[in-house]
Amino acid sequence: MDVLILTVFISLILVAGGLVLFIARLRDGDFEHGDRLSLMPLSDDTETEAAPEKVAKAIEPRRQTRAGSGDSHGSQ
Amino acid sequence: MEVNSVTKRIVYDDSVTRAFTIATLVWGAVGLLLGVIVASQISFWQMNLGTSWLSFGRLRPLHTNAAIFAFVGNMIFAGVYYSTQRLVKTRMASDALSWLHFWGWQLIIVAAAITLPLGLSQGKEYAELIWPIDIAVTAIWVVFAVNFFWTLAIRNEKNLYVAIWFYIATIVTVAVLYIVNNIQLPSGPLHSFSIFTGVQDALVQWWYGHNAVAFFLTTPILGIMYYFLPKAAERPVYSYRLSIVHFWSLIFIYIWAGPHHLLYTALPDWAQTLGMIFSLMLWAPSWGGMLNGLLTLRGAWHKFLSDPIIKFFAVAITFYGMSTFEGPLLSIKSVNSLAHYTDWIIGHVHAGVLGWNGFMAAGMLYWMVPRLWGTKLHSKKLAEAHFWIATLGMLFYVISMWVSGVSQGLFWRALDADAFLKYPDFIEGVLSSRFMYHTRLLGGVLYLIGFIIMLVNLAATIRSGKPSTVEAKVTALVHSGPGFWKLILSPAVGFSLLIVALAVVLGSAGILTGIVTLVFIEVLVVILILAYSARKKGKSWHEMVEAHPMAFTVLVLVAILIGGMVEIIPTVAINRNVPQIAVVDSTGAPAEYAYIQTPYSPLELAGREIYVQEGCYNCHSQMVRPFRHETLRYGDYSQAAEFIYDTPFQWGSKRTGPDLHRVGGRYAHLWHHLHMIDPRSTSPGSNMPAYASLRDSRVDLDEITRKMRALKKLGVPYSEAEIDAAAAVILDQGQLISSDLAKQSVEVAPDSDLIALIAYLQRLGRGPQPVSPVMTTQEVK
Repeated sequence: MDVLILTVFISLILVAGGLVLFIARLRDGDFEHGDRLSLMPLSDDTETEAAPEKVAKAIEPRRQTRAGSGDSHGSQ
Repeated sequence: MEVNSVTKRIVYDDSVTRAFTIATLVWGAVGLLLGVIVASQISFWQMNLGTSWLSFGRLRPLHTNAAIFAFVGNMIFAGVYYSTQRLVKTRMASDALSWLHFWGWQLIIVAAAITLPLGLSQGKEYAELIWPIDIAVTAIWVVFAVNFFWTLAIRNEKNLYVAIWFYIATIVTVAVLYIVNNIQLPSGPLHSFSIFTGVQDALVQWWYGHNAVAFFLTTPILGIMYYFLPKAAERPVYSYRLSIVHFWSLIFIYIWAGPHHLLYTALPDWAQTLGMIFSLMLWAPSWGGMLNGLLTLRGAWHKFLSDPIIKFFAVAITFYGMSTFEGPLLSIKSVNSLAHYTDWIIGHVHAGVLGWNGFMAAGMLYWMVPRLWGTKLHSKKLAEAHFWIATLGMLFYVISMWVSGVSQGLFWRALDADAFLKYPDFIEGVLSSRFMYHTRLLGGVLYLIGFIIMLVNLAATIRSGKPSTVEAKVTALVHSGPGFWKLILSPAVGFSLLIVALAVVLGSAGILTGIVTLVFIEVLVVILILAYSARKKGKSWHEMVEAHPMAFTVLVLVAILIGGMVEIIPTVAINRNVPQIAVVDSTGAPAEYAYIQTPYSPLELAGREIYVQEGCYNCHSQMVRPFRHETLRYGDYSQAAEFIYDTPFQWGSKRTGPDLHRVGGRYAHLWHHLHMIDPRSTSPGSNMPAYASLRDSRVDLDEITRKMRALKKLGVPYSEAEIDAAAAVILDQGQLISSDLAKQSVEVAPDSDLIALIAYLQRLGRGPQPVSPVMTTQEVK
């Protein structure tokens, strides 16, 4: 029976905390940025078939940048 | 953090995606074919072909590993490599790591395909691979993780889309699960013992086993759903907000549900209850995800009739909904008491793998292959044929397993008017399930035919095109954010570690301390998040988290560690969870149960190793549950302390044959001998494979000595003298059994594997057995 009381109490605490956070974040518009992000899988439909000579050309600048700056974020 | 942008061109690396796609098709066919073979072995015992390395006990682990890690694994990697590059708008960070990942994974699959039929197994479901392969799996997983997170670091899209969150959760959690469940001590180049024993081993194993389903068969596929479904439907996901709630609640709750595989076993009751409650809570996030998927098809349902890809996705998501309804249902203790160990569980898991995983794979492959090879799908009609044949196959499979499962549960528990077993003979149930086994086989064959149709269709598609190289124009981001160490030492990570520490206190504390700690944790989390949000007024908290892969990953780690730690640490650390048995008889002398905690003799240990090697746990449990119908059929219910020297634990999860925990002393040596040579001679109608070859193979005496030394290091109280005398004791104890058989005109060598297996079975559920002629004169139980 102890376990049952503990389980019910834990559940209520978790639900209460979750609700407080959820409502607070909803009021602050926390989830509205998703309107743009939800379109993300559809936005890569503009891809084009690359010509073979373009392939090497397109990869090269990034490799040079990485080698030059030593910064994994650096891509021009 | 400053973010500047310039325009650049990206060429995606689809060559590795193509490789994983082909591997998915090949290993999918192999995994399904193995499924058909093992299903035929249940229907017709002759299909075991009298060869040990093709017997059900060895092929079934190969089937499950092939379906999970080879088929679904390669499908996941194909989907992850394809979608990640496009979602973060950059090429994979390292082509070399991508190819190392691909070839490493294929080599692991080949290694598994060689070792499992040879009987080289750890004896734990879905974790059978031996320790050198475990190390390889871990290394290749790290390669995948490094490549993935490195790609996120050089991304050109600030925010991580929901699919990427699921991939992060998969990578992090599978690493944690795999490493913890495979902590082991090698006793030789191809053998090891888990450091966990008995109850602890069972809990860790099913924490792993259940979450292999959760984080290998579910979360990555959900990521794939969130990417490929909108593309196929040409509509955005129904609710991005729902996906946030879906993601966090799913990964937090899923990790707690493992103990529902151990209901009514010797696992502590509190852990069972936690497992059941969290399984029930899983209904909400699972159905949230399912509804988010199905509602993405709003306005696109007309495509359901004309587009086989939408058909596959819609039915896959429906099966996800059905399976995730059925899972919590089966976790309710009263339902579980009927369903556990029956074919119902087999039906449930196949609804998930064939319906959810298999159909998501089909939808994804039909969508992706034409694009990867710059062509059109060879035949839409063949894809339609695949859909209908496979759907029919699944229905045959799942419904037949439901019927046989519920029948078995009712059959086993049926009592007559005097409260005694109505059907005391187990084999009656096997015989009554036979028609359903044949129907299941038919379902499996139909599903395989459907898959082969896809294979042919996609092979023709590939032949008609050529590998395409895709280029995209993206706006590049130049980040100048905090460095790695600054992030590691940031308050966010410190806070996360604090939460983990508090969770440990919660897990190992008494009720009052636990409640106080929980309230403290929760208040702290709520206050800190609200305070942080107030400081960054106007900026979405989750948007900020999405833009920081490192912070996101740490939060995922915290979410998945809490449940596991709360359940595992107390079970391993607190002795009261495995109560010692101190039973005395009327004279005050230790009674039978006290002896059960004595280590196995060398010959019994050798027999146990054969039991593991032959995969007996695939059909026999060693766990008598505390129900009248079980104690009537098998004997006293099993207790935690009886398993303290069992590594690996062999509780099993299915009873195609009866439970064996109290089989010791129930039958004569001769009965066991006849049963192993030809199971039909003692149990007419049995579908058990024959193990006649065990009569001719011999126990490796040196190997048993090495194993005893390894077990001693793990805490099994073997003395040096006992280990040194092991070879002689094996021969002595074997001679006792061999002599008994000889009296009945059966000649078997005392050191044969068959004698060792008989010795082990005779020991099960009772005290030490005589190991030398001198001891036979004493009254030792």
